Amino acid sequence: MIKMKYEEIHEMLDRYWEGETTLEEERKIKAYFKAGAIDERLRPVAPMFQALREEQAVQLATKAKTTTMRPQMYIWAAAASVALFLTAGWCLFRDVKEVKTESPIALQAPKAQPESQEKAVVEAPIDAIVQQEKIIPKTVSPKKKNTPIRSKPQEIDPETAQAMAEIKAALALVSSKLDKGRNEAVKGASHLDALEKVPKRKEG
Amino acid sequence: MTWDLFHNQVFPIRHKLYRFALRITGSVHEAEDVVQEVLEKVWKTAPEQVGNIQNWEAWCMTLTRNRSLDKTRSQTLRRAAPLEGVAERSSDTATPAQATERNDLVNRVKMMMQQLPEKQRLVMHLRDIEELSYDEIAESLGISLDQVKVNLHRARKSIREKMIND
Repeated sequence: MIKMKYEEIHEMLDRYWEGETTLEEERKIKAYFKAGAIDERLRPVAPMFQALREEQAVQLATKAKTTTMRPQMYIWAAAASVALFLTAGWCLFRDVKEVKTESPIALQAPKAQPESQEKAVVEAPIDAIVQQEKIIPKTVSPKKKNTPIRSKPQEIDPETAQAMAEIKAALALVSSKLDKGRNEAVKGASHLDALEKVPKRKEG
Repeated sequence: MTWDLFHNQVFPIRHKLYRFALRITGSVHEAEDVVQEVLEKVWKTAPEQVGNIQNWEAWCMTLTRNRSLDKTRSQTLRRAAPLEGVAERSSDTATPAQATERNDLVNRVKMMMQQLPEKQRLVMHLRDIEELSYDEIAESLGISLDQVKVNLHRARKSIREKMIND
């Protein structure tokens, strides 16, 4: 709290208006008016120092820029999503279509090119082979259509039987490849285990 | 300009620069732009020039003044109202009527300050709001020490007379 006599502050104020006060004296005057206990005779000039105080409090606002999506951006985001969805859908559709176009070749191969039939069946993806298995019952003779194929394989016509045999061969080939891959992975894992044991032996 | 120098000497006075720019332009947006441009210019100060600058505050004030005057002249913006962004305050002990009257008086003083001739307005701002020494004011505004004193005296006297006559 600034305790100043009226005479003291009045004399200082006179010099202030003349521009003859020091910075320190001017700070004292401001502090006096800020304190609130203002002499009635000095009240008329109090707004001057309140104005200065308020002006001193003005600060440069630090704006936090927030990125908000404008309506136009929402439209573009939606368009991009749709485009992405359509592209993904087209890619999936294309893959399925390729599988479907390959499977009839594999199925028909025995008729057109007997010498290349094995290759065609082997190269067909697993999905295509499964697809072929689904198609096979359709080729079964109408007389035997209620009879399960696997329970009575001797009733299947020779052409279908040949196709099934080829499919089984292909599945066996795929299965053997998978086994081989799994064996290699087990072998690699055992090597890693052996490597991990080396430092432990040294430490021991 | 090194980061340390900028961080210690220039960045802390950004509010002063803003108030000074606001005093001249009278526009919050213009003042913000001025401060942005001044800080950018100071940051890009050539190393050989850095050594020649003794008083960074005064130099920045000069840049702010020049940039603000350029903007003001180009857009002929001049505001006769109290500065934007100044919060109105009222004393706890005053009645609403007294507080309103006091705020009116405070706003009138702000308006009086803003209506002063340019040199008086800037000298008074740098002395009474930014509390710069006469030497720093003279350096910032590119005027003599005597001109600083004369303009300050005239500015204060003008406001006092208007307050008494109101």
